[in-house]
Amino acid sequence: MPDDQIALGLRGLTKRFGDMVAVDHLDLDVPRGSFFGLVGPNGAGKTTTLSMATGLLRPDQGTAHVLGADVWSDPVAAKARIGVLPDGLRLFDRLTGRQLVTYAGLLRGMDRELVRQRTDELLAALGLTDAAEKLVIDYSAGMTKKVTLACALIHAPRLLVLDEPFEAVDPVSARTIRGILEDFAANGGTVVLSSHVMDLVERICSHVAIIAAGQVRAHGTVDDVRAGMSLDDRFLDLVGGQTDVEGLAWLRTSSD
Amino acid sequence: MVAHLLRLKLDLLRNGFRRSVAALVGMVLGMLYGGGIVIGILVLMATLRFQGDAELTRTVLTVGGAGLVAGWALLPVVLFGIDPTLDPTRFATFAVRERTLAVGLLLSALVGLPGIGTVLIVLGMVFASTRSPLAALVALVGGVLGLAACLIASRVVSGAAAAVLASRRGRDVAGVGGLLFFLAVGPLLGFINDGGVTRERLVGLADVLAWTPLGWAWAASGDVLLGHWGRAGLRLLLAAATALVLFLVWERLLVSVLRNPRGSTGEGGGARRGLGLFAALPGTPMGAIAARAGTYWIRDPRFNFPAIMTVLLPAGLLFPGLAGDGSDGLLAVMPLVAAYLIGWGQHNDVGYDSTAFWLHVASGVDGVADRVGRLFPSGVLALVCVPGYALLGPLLGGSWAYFPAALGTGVAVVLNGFAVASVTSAVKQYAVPSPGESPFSSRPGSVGVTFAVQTVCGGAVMALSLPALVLFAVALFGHAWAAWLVLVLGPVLGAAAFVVAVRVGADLFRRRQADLLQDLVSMR
Repeated sequence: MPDDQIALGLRGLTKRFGDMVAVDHLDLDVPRGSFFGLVGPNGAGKTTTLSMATGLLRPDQGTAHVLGADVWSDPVAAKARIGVLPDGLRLFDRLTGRQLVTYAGLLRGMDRELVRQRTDELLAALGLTDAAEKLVIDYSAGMTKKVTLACALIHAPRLLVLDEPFEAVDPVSARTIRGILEDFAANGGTVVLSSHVMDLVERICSHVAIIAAGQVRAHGTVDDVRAGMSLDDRFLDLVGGQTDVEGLAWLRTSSD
Repeated sequence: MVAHLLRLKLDLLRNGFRRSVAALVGMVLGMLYGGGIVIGILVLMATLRFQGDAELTRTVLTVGGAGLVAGWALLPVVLFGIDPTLDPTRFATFAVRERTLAVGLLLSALVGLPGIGTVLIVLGMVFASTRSPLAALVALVGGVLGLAACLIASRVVSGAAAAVLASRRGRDVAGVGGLLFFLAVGPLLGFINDGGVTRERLVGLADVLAWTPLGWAWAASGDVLLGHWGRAGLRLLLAAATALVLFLVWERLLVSVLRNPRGSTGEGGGARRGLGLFAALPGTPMGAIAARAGTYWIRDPRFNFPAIMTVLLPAGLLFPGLAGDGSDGLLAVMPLVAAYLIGWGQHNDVGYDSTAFWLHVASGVDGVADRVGRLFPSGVLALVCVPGYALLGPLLGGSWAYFPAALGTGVAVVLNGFAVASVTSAVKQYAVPSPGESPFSSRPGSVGVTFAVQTVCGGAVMALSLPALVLFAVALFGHAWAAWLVLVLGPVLGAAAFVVAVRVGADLFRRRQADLLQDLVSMR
């Protein structure tokens, strides 16, 4: 793939935590304009990889490029092109929804009037207008994901990196988020999201990479990767792992 | 079950050390520092044991023991915070008998440096009373009752304080209470100052304390040594009753917490209009960070409670300053205390963001904007408090001759504090209560790191301020030239330190922001 067609390029990314190698010389190219799903079992290194790709976690080795800009040697240029939705990190949740999105915009150095306009539009598009004056700490899980997405979108990034954007989100909010992401990708933006819901990735992503034990096991278009099987089966095939339940007879109360 | 809880606390402590070297270093520092104090007290106790004056023994034990209980009750609220690892709410889902849980949680406080130190001190106090077997026995019973009072009082007071602060009205009440407390401290200091600490006074103090709940448990053995058998018995009974009543109150608190685990906010979800400070301050990254910091100072008890304390604390010098002759130099120190508390207080600001700090990292925020923006609310506070206290002294009858020195040195100290904070908050942050946690909670195994960072920061502020402080001292001795010199030189030197430190801090911030975030992640 020519370099100018790569939205996110990871080369030899490695991260150790003590003795544990979380990400092990990982290479990955995300093509521009793709809707890219990153799947893998718990502890496979998805969050660690995405954190290193977005400048939140310093890799021990390797590089990450966003549309040609090196995340770790030219962070200002790279970060201006990325919108991030991390998983498991807090928000400044003593602000109201409107204040938080405004804050994200102003932090990016945007003009105040532009921030105001886009904040209104984003809150409306995500169905948060009624809750805009409430503190984010009082939001439900789905609303929190949506307001974080608004923060990630406010500076019109060209690459969106979303860690578990659909976790703990109800179907209605999930539909809203999905609509916005598909619209974003259809207009030339690139979306990278991690998930462990295979069905969802199979339905909405154009490309997919399967990660296990810190390495990419398979990647390409969704059709290439699943090779005629369902993504779920292909995933279990690649990652391995036991699926039959043994023991636990005492849990089956009917056996009394 | 009690054994389980103790083992849980031990495991948590040990795992804390496995996660970070800093915690281990902190523990060692804490052992050296606290160990020194404990050994000093033990030597004092041994000396008491081998001298003949029973009244002296009784006085020291009563006053010291009462101080121990007061310390356990108040220090967590004022200084350290209480360890939330064994936060009662975390046990809400387990089927544990409430009384067992109440006992286990209390005993778990003994696992840790303060607990071990206190047990050693109590043993020393028992030893000091071993001149007669019966006195030793009474001292042992009293010691156990007194120790129980320490443990329970700390839980009850911090639980009640957290509950009070959870509501807005409660915070107002706490603010007024704090003011009254400091107004009371003033006359007390003046009283001690006036004539000094004499033996008669200490004996008098012990006599009073011996008839309060603070002193019952500790005074009994002294009564035996002095031959007052009836009093000793009565005091032990009263001490036992105190421990029992405190325990019942603690159990009530625990049950109410377990049965109504607190909601997510503690702050009624009232709607707020518009953008607040975000509309009022400049629409730049620095302005936005200032607005965010300012909003948090208003909404978050972790900020506004210390802020109230910072504003009120220097007023404690008012009474001794006004009471005696020739002590109105104390009034001139008020702005310095305010300046130190405000400036130095900023050194761990990034720690308070917790992992929400990712938004700054992901946005590629400029270091200068982050460093300076954060200082906005405390800058406003300094702008009010430092000149305010500098003026308050002379207006209330102090000497105007000290005014230029007080103002100039105050400005220097606050700017130096901000300078140190700009660098340290980009280097090392220690764990603080997470957003939404009680402002009185602390992290297990973090007391040492906290203490070390605070000491280093305090030392750095003092070192930077040394020229101004020396000139201030010279001015207090009546040299007017020094007062005027420091009025000019203090702000100039402070501003220079601040500018340099912001540059250095911004550079560190640019290079270290991801590492800083990971530090915060590992502290969760």
